Amino acid sequence: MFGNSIGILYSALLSDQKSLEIRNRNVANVNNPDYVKEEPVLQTLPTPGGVSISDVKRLSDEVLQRQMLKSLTLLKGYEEKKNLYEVIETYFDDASGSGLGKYIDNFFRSVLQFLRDPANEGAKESFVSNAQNLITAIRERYQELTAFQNNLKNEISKVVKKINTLTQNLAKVNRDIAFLYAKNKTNSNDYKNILDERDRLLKELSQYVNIEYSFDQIGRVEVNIVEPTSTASGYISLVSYNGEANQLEFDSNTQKFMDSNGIEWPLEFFKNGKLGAYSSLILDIETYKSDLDTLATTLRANAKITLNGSLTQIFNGTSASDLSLNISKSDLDNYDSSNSESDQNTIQSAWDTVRENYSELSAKISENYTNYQIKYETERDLNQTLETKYAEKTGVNLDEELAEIMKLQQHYQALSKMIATSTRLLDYILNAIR
Amino acid sequence: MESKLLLGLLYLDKKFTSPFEVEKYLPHIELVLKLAEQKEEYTPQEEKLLKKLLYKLDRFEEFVKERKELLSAKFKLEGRL
Repeated sequence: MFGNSIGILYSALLSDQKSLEIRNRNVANVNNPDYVKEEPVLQTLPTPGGVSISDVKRLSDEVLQRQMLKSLTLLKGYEEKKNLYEVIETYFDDASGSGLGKYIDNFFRSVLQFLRDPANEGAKESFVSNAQNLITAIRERYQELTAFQNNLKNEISKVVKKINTLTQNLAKVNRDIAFLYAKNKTNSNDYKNILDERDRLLKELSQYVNIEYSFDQIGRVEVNIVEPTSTASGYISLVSYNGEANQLEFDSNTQKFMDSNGIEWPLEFFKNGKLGAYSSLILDIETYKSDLDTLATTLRANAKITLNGSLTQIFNGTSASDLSLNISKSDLDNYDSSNSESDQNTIQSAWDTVRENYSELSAKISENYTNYQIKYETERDLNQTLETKYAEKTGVNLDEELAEIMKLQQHYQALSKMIATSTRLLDYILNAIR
Repeated sequence: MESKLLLGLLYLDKKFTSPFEVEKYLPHIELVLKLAEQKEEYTPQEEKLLKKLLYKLDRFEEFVKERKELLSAKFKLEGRL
């Protein structure tokens, strides 16, 4: 009878000791944002009885965590897009004078001035110099956009490296989880601190790409890059349960990604996170460059004056990058003023067409910037709410922990007294028998 | 003086930041949308804030839908559904 009682009391003491260890760990991590609070799960032992800790429960909230990570992916993507568009907008910002608007207006104004007074030497010089300024401005914008694209390609290469490192670390964590699970299976399943590292890596990875993940029973994670809004179908498997990692490569010349299985992924596949932002921006810039080409073509096709009896293009070239001047100041010396009125009509109509073309381009950039700003601000607020809620649910509350520790302490003292009393009683009986 | 619509939009822009508060701000949202319907033209600031409010409503709706799907997936996994 005494043996059983002491056995039961001993099991309770061991449970208290383990519980205290868990509570102390919670308190030690009160300021660790990646730490998820843990709680001991007690179970009754079969006859002769007693108590033990069957499991260490990790107080995580998977649903909230998934939504928080998705929101983080969107937030980082929109943040990058907003910041990048802020730069692109400066290339076409007419309010600050860096846009093309003033060059277009100056050029057409000087052509009209020349047509009204063809003998004026100053008007001729202004015509040629403003045409040259317009060519330079269009070429510069084109070169700036190309340089911007190249910078984005470099950023993609850096992000791919980070994704690969995180993927490798997650694969290692999966192997560690399997090892620690096997090692601690008989020790109340107390291996779950490693899951904090797993969650931290998932959070970091979510900043770069849109991931979908699932956990197995012991907490290992399987991660895929999934882009539901992408036109390209399929998914990239990044990490498997058994600790294998897929690595990505980016070829800046072909602008394609390749995974370890040799499958190629186009830029269009990535839509969210930082990688999605850089990929989308490269494609967006391609359309802006093509818009600049259209602007140059429109300019070449419509800006004409009559020289030597026939309508002559003022500009030459097939794109924004090779736009050049087709006439010189000496050509203007021979201008026949009888064509002035019809040429003024041609130039006025060309001015309207080119202006409209340019306005569409700058409005498109400005609209995209505003949209990303709206999306960024909304997602920032949402993410903040989710982070706070998640921290409330999974973080350590010092007051609660200290109350639990005090309860355990009192429990421990009561048990000690009971053991001491049982021992004294046993001694008394043994002495009485002797 | 700012219009009622702009004031309402500014208020919602500052206060209505989470899908967990839809119920709390629903009367304000309804009023602002009604005011927006009555107006023919908007100032650039009103237009931007209105766009933001509509985007927010879409995003929060998507959030709630996603939450419902995740929760039902979790319950199915736990055998409750």
